[in-house]
Amino acid sequence: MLKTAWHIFVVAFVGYSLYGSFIASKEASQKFPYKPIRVVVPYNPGGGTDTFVRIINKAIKDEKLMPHPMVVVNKPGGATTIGSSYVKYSKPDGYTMLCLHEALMTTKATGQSPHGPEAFEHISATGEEGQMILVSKNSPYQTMAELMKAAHEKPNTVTFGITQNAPPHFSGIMLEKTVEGTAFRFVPTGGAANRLSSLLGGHVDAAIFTVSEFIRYRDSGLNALVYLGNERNTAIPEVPTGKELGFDVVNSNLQYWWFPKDTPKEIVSYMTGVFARAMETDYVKGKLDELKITPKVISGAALQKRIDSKMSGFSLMKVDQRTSLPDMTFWTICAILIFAVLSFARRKKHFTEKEESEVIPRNDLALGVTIMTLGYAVLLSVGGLGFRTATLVFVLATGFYLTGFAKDKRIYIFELGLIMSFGLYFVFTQIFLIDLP
Amino acid sequence: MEPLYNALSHLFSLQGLLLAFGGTVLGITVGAIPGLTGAMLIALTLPLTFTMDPIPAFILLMGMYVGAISGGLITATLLRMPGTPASIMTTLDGYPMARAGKPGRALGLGITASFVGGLISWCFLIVLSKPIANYSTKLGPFEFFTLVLLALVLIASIGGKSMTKAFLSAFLGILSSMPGIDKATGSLRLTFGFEELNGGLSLLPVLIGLFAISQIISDITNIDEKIDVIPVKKRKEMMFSLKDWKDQAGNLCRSSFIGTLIGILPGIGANIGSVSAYSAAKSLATPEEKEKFGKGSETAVVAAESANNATIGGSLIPMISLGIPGSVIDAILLGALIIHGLQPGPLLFKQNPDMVYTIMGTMFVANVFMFFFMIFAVKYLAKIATVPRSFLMPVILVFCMVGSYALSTRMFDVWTMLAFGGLGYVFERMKIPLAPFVIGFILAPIAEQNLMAGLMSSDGSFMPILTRPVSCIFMVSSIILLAFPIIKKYRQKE
Repeated sequence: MLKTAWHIFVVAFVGYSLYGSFIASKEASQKFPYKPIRVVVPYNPGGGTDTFVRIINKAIKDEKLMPHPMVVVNKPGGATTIGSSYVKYSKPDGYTMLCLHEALMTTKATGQSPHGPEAFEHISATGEEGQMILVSKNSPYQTMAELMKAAHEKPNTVTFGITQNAPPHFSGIMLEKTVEGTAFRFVPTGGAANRLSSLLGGHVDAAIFTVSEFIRYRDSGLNALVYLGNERNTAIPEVPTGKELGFDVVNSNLQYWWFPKDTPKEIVSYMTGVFARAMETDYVKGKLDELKITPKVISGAALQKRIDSKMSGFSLMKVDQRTSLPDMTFWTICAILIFAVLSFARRKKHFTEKEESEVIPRNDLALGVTIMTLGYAVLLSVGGLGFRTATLVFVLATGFYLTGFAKDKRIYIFELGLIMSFGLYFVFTQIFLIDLP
Repeated sequence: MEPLYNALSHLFSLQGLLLAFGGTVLGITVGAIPGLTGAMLIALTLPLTFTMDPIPAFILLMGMYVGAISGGLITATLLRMPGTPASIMTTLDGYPMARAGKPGRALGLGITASFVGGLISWCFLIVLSKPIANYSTKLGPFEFFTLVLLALVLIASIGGKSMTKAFLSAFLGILSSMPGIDKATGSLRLTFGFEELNGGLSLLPVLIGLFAISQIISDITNIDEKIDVIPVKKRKEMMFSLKDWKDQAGNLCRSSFIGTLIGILPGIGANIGSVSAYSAAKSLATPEEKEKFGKGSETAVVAAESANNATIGGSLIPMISLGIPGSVIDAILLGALIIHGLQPGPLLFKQNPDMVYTIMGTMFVANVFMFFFMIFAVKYLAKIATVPRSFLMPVILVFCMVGSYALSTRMFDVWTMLAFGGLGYVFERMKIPLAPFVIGFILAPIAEQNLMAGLMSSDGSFMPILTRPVSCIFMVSSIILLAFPIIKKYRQKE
């Protein structure tokens, strides 16, 4: 009874998976875009850039601005360089795209990344987020003038929370340049949430946040000193701009959309059009208003100009290490060596200790499966066979090997193989929209 | 109150309850199968939750957490194999009870004790996490650094048999966390020219490799091991009688309290909680009861099981309020929070109160599900534990591959996973504990970033560690913890 139910389940599930994958492959016609475009977001799901991309994508899906909605692929890490280099090396066929703000330029300017905007075709820049400088309500510096005066009179004493080498860090450096001889003590507190808790706990004197972060957190006891925009922001009309106060620093983030270099011009302008229309939809406008993001769109020559001026600005600024710090790598390796010697020396005394086991360990089986697993990984890396075939081969091989090719178990192994290859492929690519090798 | 309402409406929707139930059942099942652990289940499930909203994802993961810690007692009692490391102490008395013809009684005691332990620690979680979170914004970088240091010392000095091996493991974990961009200076280190290493080694492949792959290798090595199951016949004998409640009340409360307390200490988890409660129960027992310990004592089963479930609530407290994991599973959950775009740390309460309430609420609901499901299904669960491993291994191996790949769709992570699988196996062989490695791997970036931020704000001076009272207390406690076992050993020699 249970066995029959199991067989029926396997047939139904694998059949449905095959059918689903077949339908998906049939839908592909030839006009661009005949399949979903993948947008690489170099951050984890849920962050600012990710949220922004998903808002735009929802508008594209709901208003049918493209035949298929985009697929968001998160490739976090390496201060965004993992994601950007992935797109850089992708085929320039219009099906892989990057969405990232000024970090693409700052990572180039600081030497973290070998490539900057010049390695990409830019589609457009959308949604402007202004930056501002905040202090805690209990801080001794309650105006911009007080803060700058303190940093000028006693350089390197006023602590300033930043994310190392990211746009907030550059805003801080730009601010220093407005008055000769001013120096902040930059403290790498990390992302926005950490910057906030450091500010509230009095561990830093000032820090940079975006407008939406300020609005979200302002009840917890924050004061805004300055808004780093060209003119006052309508969401926070009471906060003066840097220009008004005599510290002429303008720094804002936009989300830029990039294609790999040499993507055809028609495809680039097609996408520019799609994003322009997406930004016009009521859904996007409403969402961006909630997030206090200005629904600005820049493209074409104006975009090139903005990128050039930003790049030249960033590359002029030198990020220097102002405090000498201990070399953690060195100390860790020392500790490892010390403890390795200690454990090794001790082990010799008890080497007679050996566990008695009733069954003979099957090291041969373990070794065989290990080799098969490595082979499977090689197959997936080389990419000749594809996930489905490679997995089927792997499950059958290990399954038969482990059961000793027992007759009564063959059918189950075969079914497991089908589920793990075709079934899993369908579940991941069609339901979770995660690509498999 | 809106976030609370939001969390509860998610949890008590059909989807939420199904996820909580499904998670608990899966957790219990995996917990019951020797060789599969809760950490492994949660690490492999995490990639599947990428496309889910964070709240449903955490309902599922929390269900698994509660289930996995509880499920181990079934196989511990009926097969003398702890399904999870958390139920090692249960085998000592649960199995003798089962052999003496009282398998149902042993399981019943264990299940009820688990339930009560879970609930008591849940109360602590509710009461303590908010005040701790509120207080912790006062903690600066040096306090966080010394707190993490204390956690590392704790796991190394209490965790296993050999302190030097535990430290070796922890420092290797720390070294593994270092490649990539140095958060303090922004420069690259230890990447050896691999562009893929710019982002460092990802948590998930490292964990899957260490826990799943190394376990699979040793499972295959022991594949011929025969498994005998003692059948459970009467369900009736599983219920607690009024007399049981009266006899065990003190033991339940004490053991749950010990479990919670051990759970709160960062870095050490369920197995140590249950060992401590077991020894406490033993030293407080009457002489005739003491005689029975290790031969089928009811008190012992109750102590071990209530304590290991109580560590769940305890270890969630630092996870929620400080962003510091109390155990290996909490470390994975912490990674899950980040992957879902939430920032763990003192401000989680402020920024994502609905997530905090979801975690708390699910822990309660999953405990209730766990209780009823275990009572109902314990008979069948014992059978699942005997599913031939030759079927399970290929399936789990494919999941390991897919799970590592799906995180950021690159083969590099798959190779990382395999490499750490090999490392994990070598560790097991050399009897080097794995837990300090994981804790070191996860905590080192937190410690380093805080230390560097602290040094940059103090202009390079280490003095604030000693002049700030809280960090001084943490520092002194670490030194005492470190020195204590050494002095003890020295005295024994004399």
